[in-house]
Amino acid sequence: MAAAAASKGRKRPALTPAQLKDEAMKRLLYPRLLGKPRINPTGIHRREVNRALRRVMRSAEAHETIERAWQLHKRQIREERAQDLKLKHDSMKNAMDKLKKLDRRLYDIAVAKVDPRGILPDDAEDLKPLKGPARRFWLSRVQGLFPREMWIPTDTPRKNGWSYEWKAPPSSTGSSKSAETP
Amino acid sequence: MQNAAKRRVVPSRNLQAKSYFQPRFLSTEAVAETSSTSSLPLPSSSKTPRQWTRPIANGVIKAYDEALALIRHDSNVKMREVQRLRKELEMATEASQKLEIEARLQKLKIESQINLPEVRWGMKEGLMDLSNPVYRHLLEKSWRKDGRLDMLMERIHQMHVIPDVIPTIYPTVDLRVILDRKNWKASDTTWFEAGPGEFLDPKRTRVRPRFQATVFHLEPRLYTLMTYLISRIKVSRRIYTCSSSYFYPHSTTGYAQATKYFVYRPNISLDAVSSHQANISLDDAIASWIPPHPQNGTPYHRYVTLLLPQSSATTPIEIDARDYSERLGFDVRQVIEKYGLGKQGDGSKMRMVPRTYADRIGTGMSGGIHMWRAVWDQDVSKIYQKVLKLPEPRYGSPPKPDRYGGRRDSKYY
Repeated sequence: MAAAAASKGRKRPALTPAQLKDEAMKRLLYPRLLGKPRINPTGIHRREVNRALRRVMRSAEAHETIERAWQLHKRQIREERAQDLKLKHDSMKNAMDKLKKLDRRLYDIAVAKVDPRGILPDDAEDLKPLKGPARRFWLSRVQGLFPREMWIPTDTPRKNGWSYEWKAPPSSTGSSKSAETP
Repeated sequence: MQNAAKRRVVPSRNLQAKSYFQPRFLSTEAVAETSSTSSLPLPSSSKTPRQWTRPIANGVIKAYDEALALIRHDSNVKMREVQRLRKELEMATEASQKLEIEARLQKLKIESQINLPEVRWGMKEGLMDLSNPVYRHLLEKSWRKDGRLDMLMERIHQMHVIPDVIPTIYPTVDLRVILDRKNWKASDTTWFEAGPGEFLDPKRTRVRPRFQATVFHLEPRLYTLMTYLISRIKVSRRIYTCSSSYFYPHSTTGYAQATKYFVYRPNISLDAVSSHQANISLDDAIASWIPPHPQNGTPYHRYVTLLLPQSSATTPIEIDARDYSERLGFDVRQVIEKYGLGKQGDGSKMRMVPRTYADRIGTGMSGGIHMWRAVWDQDVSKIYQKVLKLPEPRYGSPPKPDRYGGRRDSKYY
């Protein structure tokens, strides 16, 4: 609508702040969509790639060689990572197999899956004095999951400022130690 | 003038450099070697075989230098691994262990060379040694992935070649049909490849075309080549195409049977190294070539070429030429069943065959297939007159009964 109006040389109607935001986002995501779109915005077919490549690499063979080398490099990294993980996994499996033969009880403990909804026996004493909202807060935390306090860093500080008195709620596993952040 | 001075001149070694970065089908220009004169301008001083050289000098593009270094290093590492595996293979005793090492060795041989710029250049120029598994792999990959096989299968299915005479086919051989034609200079001949499903003028196929097959196995195996015409017989009405005035090429309700064969030659020995871009010799074929002659008034005819592996790779099959003296009534299915053609062993061993039908290669139809079409031309009349020496038939729809009893002379009554 606005584009049609602009093409005829008439004044554009004033855009609301929401529309301005949309326009800014559109310009950011699809820079060539405004005007005469020559590129598919989803990026599947890009006709300027060949032209740009020819400017950079005058030799098609050199381009292919570089492509091959890059693919090879990625493959090397991939295979190395896979090999590393495989060794670690095999080592763990080996250890657990041996443990199974040596001590079945310890093996069962090591292999047991912790029910995230449940309470570990070690935490039962910590849980006894808690009542009401504190108890509910503690029970609703899932063990091992990322903590509720985690937040994406922002450019500007909070409205209520930095809380120096904040203390981490008791957590028996202690895995997610980002409870340091308020 | 100023622009010419600014442009960096990169010597183009590729004589046919048309445009970069376009999908390059495997160069068929190399096929010219087998015809009388080549249409390609070769370099005048080609006493030594061409070698790969760097396209860009050292230091010009750092990314290219680094890429080369990485590729060479990886290739060296893998080649050392290949040597180690070879020694391991010699020392291995169990059969299963040997098979495993051989599989790994084969894969590694390909991996160690596939990224080398010399190999890739060799493929583009057609200078490849097919005893090397890398070239075989790249050749088969190009045939299967770059579109030629897809086009063939599309045409084969769209023109109903596949359910007509043979139930199905999973090609493992790249079959090409090449025709020669005289240039405007009468002394010169040039060749062209008939793509699958293309219309070929009857005058082009007056002389037998050349068949070339690229197989991807090293050991020689025996194949049978047949070229036949598909036609249809409407069983319900018991109408035979060649002797009646009706002709239904595309109806799918009738049972199809090939009526005429043009080439039938069993016991062709093919292997990867010797058969690539070499004409299949048809001197000992069952009968000589008669040119395709689609009759006047009939729709286009389909001429199918099959190259099927024989059940035994080494033992030739005995054919009595007298059984096939009559070209009419050549039953392809019967011949296939009789001699067990089309079964080419273990498909799971062939690496490039898609896993979806690898298990069916051994039991079903494998080999090569090609099809071209032809329609009546005035040259067909000449063929009937000079080559076949038969009266030329003319087909058309049957005459309609006159409902007006001859009284339809004037427009107004």
